[in-house]
Amino acid sequence: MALEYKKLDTFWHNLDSRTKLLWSILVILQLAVWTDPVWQLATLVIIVVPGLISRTPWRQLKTLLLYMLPFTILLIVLEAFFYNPSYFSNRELAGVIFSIGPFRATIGGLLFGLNIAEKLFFAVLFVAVLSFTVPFTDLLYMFQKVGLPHQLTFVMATSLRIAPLYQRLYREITDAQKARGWSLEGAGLIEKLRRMMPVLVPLFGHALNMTERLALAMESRAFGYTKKPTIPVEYVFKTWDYIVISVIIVLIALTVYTMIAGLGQL
Amino acid sequence: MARASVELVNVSYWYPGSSKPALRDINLKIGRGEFVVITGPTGAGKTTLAYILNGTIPHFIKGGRLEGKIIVDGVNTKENPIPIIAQKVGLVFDDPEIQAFGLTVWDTVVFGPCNLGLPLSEVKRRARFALESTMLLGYERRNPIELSGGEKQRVAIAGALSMLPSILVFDEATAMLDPIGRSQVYEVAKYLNEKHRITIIMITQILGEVAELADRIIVLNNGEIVEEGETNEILSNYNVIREASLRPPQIIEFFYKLKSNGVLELNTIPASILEAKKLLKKILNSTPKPIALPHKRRLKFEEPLIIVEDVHYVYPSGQTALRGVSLRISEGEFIGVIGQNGSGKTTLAKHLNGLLKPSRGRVIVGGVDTRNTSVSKLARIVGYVYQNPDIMLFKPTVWEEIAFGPRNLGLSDGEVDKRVREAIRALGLEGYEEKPPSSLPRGLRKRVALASILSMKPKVIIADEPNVGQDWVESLMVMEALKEANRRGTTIMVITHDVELIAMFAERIIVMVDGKIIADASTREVFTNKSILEEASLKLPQITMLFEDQGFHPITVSEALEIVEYCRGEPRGSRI
Repeated sequence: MALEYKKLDTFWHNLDSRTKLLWSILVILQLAVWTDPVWQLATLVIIVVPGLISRTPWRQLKTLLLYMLPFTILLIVLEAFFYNPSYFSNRELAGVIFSIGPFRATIGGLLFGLNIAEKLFFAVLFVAVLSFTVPFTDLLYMFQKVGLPHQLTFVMATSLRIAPLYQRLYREITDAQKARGWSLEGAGLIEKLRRMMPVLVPLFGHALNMTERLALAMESRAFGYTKKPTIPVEYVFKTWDYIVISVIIVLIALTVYTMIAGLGQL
Repeated sequence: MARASVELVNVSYWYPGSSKPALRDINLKIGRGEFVVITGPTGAGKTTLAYILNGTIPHFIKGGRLEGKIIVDGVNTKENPIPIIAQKVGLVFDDPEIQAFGLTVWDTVVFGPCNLGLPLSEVKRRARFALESTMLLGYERRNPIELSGGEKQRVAIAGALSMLPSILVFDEATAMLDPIGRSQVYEVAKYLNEKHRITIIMITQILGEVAELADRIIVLNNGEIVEEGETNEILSNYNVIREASLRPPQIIEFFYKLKSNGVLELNTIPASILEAKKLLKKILNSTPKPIALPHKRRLKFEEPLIIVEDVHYVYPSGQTALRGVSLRISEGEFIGVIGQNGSGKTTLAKHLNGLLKPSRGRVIVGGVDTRNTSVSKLARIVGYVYQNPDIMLFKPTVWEEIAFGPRNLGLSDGEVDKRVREAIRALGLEGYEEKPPSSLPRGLRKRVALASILSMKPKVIIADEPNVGQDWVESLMVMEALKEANRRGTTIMVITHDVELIAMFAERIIVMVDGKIIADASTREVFTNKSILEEASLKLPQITMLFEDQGFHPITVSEALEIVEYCRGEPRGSRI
């Protein structure tokens, strides 16, 4: 669901990463607090507008969204049956759409289901816009800038970098053992675990070796020399950042108000 | 010599728990701006020396015993921590992926200066210098994992360079690269040495390629400096090279043998190809008609054992790796598959044992379509020896390791024992049967991996880069074992970049470029066709290059010696 970052000269791309972080907080807050699917549509606007401005290639999400569709429909149906009429104080929401035996699908349950579906789809769109307009590495530096320990952001970046290496290594080891006649075919769960040894032993050995070499390479680049390493990205607020931040702060305040006032809830 | 950049006085080192020193009484001075090659066989102490130079020993690898004085660019490495030494000595390892930090090239290059807490403007200045010097400007946002081997290693060099060291140590930094990748690294090293007077210490076993770059060569063996001198002086000393289990450049071997056979009287053996060509011209003063050397490839074979028909393969990532490959392999052939990394060699080989199934086309092995059978069943016919032995080895003893494959085939205990004994004998592993494979040096581990496939007695053995990470003697031992299996009827396919090594053993060469076979012919036909090799970005064997102006096309040193004997009216056999 993440798109590859592309450096474009658009209004949204040119905003400071911290502005986009604040926008992310607004989106996440709205997704978290509202349960009314109609209110939730406001979040769609907040995601789609920056997406259109930044020329986010929505088409790249088509396959993923299509894959999600059957699962989401099933989820809506299940939600409709999950909330029985006694759950709702509002009569309209407690209304039964149809029944199958003892199971009754309620209007409120259906709306809850719709809201969850919205949240899922909007989250995909949100991550797409964010990843397309902010390099992931800048996000990590930004976390460092806002006070997260350098070690933590380094571990996050290293995990993301090392994961494909491990994946490749696992595949290579599995292939190498298959070429020696090794197979999991026909084995039960316990037997499968036992038979995994030819893969796990070399994998574990490599992991240890890799960790040691990584530590050596880090040491050779003075990792840990200072408690406050330099953040290699410049963060500069421009006039538009101040304007957009002001708008976002107002929207966050309004969202918090709706939460307190019980608005946007089923 | 200019002011010393590196000074080692009576340096000895014992690893923790070891009674034998890994380095003994090393006295070494390297001047500022020198380009020095340190070479020697596996286990000679080269990497230990590199670790001592950048302070890994004693600050990272603790508990050993380090004696003597070590000064690098005025800094005593025993008394200063690694971050201080790292600003004097940059170390580039063999594996570039482990030296990439963060998710982009930029992250890797700025990692060191940021760790030093330098102002952002200085970090940027250094990053620009490092990227420019390694020809990586424009790569800043790229993910290092997606780059080619040579590019990845240049990123690692840039990462070390941004610490502004005055000394760069390359510890087998080209060992895992293809010829294009290696030449990129050499080019960068040469540029940094000439333009910025950075002292280069290149640890390598590939002497032929660095001959023209290095001022000096230091030969280590058993933890001691056994020879030290100017490049030409060392390279022309054939005995020193052989005693250190190193590969002599082919022209050195050729002239040394002419000299020791009494054909020539020479004071010094030429180390460069230009000098060698002049000397050869004098030797072959008459110009006889070119002679026909035999094609090693046997022309008639039985029914093919493997048929590859118009195979296309696209990886799940969308990368097309094979584009319409067709070939036939018969029993008893010895085939070399050459080409750059990414040309499709390994992808093709993995189709032969069913690890990959064609996206289009078909592969028939022993009469069975690989799409209709499992890899474990095909393992009875096709064995695959991986480049990295450590991904195969997991058993507690060498014996158990070699028995693993035959046991998977469901053989009786008696048969398994018999096969293990045979494989141990073939690979010279007697005495190691009860040792854990993981405790053996890499060269021996590679032999154990090969033995574990030999013991399965497949009809075909595919060996992927069998000589990577090995010294010359170990490489020859592995290749001889493959040749012996070939003599007994096993089909051998070796995937390699090493044209000189494969020319000594293979009868047939397949050249791959960009997922296609651009040549499939006898070894001689391929290695005397410069344009084919150029298309694959490979070089002719050095001995072939030496003779190309004379109208002869030897592909091995022994053939070249036969030519000289023939030209001097001393034909040796009926082959010429």
